[in-house]
Amino acid sequence: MKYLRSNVFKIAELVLALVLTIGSFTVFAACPVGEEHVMACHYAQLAVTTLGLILTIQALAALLIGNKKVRLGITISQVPALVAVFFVPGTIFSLCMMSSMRCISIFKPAVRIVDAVFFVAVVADIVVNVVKNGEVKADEHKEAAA
Amino acid sequence: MVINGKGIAVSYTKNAGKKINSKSYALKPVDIKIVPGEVSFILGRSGSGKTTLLSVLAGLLKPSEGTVLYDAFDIYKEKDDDFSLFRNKNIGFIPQGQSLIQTLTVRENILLQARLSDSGSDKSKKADELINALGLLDRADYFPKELSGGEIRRCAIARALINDPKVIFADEPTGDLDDDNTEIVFDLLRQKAKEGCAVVIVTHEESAIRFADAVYRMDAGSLKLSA
Amino acid sequence: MNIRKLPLKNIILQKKRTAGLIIILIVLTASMFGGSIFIRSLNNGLDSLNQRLGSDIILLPKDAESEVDLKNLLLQGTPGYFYMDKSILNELENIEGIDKISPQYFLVSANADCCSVKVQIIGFDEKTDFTIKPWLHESYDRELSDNEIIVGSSLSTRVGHKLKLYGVEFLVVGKLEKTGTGLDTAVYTTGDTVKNLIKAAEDKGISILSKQNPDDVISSVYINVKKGYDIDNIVSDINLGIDGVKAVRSKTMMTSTADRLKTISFLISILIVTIWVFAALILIAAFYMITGERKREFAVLRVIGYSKKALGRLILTESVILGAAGSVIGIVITGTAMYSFNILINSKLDLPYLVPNAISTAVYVLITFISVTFLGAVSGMISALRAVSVDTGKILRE
Repeated sequence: MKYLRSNVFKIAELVLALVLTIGSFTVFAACPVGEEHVMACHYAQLAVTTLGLILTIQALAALLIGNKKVRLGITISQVPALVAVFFVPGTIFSLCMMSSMRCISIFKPAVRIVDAVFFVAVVADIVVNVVKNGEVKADEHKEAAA
Repeated sequence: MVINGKGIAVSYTKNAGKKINSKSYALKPVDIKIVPGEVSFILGRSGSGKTTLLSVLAGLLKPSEGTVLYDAFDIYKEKDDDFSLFRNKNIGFIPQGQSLIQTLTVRENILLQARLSDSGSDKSKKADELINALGLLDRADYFPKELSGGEIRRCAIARALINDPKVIFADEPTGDLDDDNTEIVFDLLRQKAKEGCAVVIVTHEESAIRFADAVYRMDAGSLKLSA
Repeated sequence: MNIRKLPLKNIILQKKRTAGLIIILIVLTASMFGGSIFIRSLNNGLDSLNQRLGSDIILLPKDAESEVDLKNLLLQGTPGYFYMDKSILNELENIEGIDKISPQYFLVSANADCCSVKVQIIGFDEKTDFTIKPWLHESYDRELSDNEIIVGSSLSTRVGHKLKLYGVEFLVVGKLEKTGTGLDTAVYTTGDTVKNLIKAAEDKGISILSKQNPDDVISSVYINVKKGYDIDNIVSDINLGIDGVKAVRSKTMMTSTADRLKTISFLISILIVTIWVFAALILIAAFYMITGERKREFAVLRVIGYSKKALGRLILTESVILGAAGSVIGIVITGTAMYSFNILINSKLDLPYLVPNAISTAVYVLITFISVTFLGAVSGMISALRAVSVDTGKILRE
């Protein structure tokens, strides 16, 4: 229980990273690969999967490493990847021609929602961490003074 | 402040079978006078009506008959708002059992009664004194669920004393306490009486009589002043 | 320690209780907000479809499928084509009471540039058109030149960009407003550009689903009736007077859809009301039970000097905060889901579906927020009444 409580953000981040990575080629995959030509959309999906994999590795590392500063550093380093994921569908990669296709109707909103929740979790994690570190330092000062 | 209970009784109507409207007393009609500077004990077995009498005197249970006067102030004829404020400022009530607000820390629980009618005076210092006197110093920032029964009780006592009340009602205040703490609490209440407080304590501990100025005995809803 | 913070502390620190109540409130909010947005979107879709058909009468070839094809095109976005001889336009001149006539030519591309889907191409006559250009998102007042096209709102291309069809690039000069129907996925252009398209396809050796020349045939004609003439009379005049065509009153064509929509709206309304009533009862019961559990806490507050009013206010404040928080969370979750996936909902529905604009949405948000918060307040009020109606002394004795 105590482990869960102190690692709640890291666990949530790992779960979200996995959802993003696995979901990007299963549940909310962009589009089936055609026989004749591969669509732009497919590359957007590949990009999301790759970034998702990086995020998963980062989340896993943050969960396993004990050093608080390293953990915080890893979590902060997830921010650019998360921003990139948000802009992959539609902005960095053009998607398909018609918005009624999976690419725009499922892939894009699903990726963006998971990414947004992930982003909020990471930011909350960072803020809580910084605040707690401040408290710990203050306590140390108190002890040193006493 | 003199408290005068005149002919107070608490009854309820039984509705069993054909015997409709037969009256049954939880507290038989009784006169009682509580004076400042005295510690009055009400002794009796559980279920004898001690708590009922205490609640009626403290304005928490409207009696079916009789009046309760605080000097000339008829508490059950007052508006709820006015009497609530009066109770907050002048009455310290220590209920039986767990009586802390779960979402507040020990210090916050104690200060709650002070802040309710905040007249600008800061009671933090007073709270610290009480926390210290009742041995709660290292528990001040704990929540009730993290406390032992005795600590909870001592916190409730501190809360009752924070506003320097003129009357203190204590319902089994030492129920969860060890001998040392029992001594501390009775000393504290004795001290309050010395300062001019009217103190009423309900207990079943006969040994506590040595702290008493007046001792009443309660038996099946009847009150008797014992010598 | 501030007295005013007590309700908030009670909410934040009693996590399980708060979570339970918030979940009930979210269900309430989601059913109300999601349901009304859904119904409104369906009605919006039908309204916009009726408006966008934009004519009193639609003329189609007189074969069994053409009307079904047109409906599929409108409702599901399934591309379709059917033809009749262009000479029909001359015959229409003889019928009295007709104000405006505008023909359209339907073509289905087998393969577009990026996606392996068919694209509906609609050739229209710019001189007579009164059903397409009024819906241009940005007004475009010159005439379409060669290889210029207007696109429906669902095509993810922008004005000024080029769209490649059969290896030829077409310049997008206009985009139409969203309708929530199949019209959103079509490409609109002139007869000449349609001919270029057919030629481009032939050059590439791509089989095209129709090869009839837009100079000779048309697919449909949109007719507006002069004021003072009865539309139904003219429909029968056309049907009796001209061979090989079928005139349909635009409204009649959509009657069955409108009926279906009414049934769906009705069922959803019943569902919303049912969910609401149950959730509201559960909420009130939950608050009531919690008050029962908290009666000792409330008695203690009375002991230390809370008046009945102050205690009632505390309970009410807690319930209003919970109601407001629950409705906001519910609105955010439901809104995100419904607006992000509106295209998906639309494509699964086979019905015109057009989510309300920002202002209407804001109204729905406000109504939902107020209703749910109000319900929270009512539940709180009932609990508050219960809490203050008992003698404190009785609870302390228990």
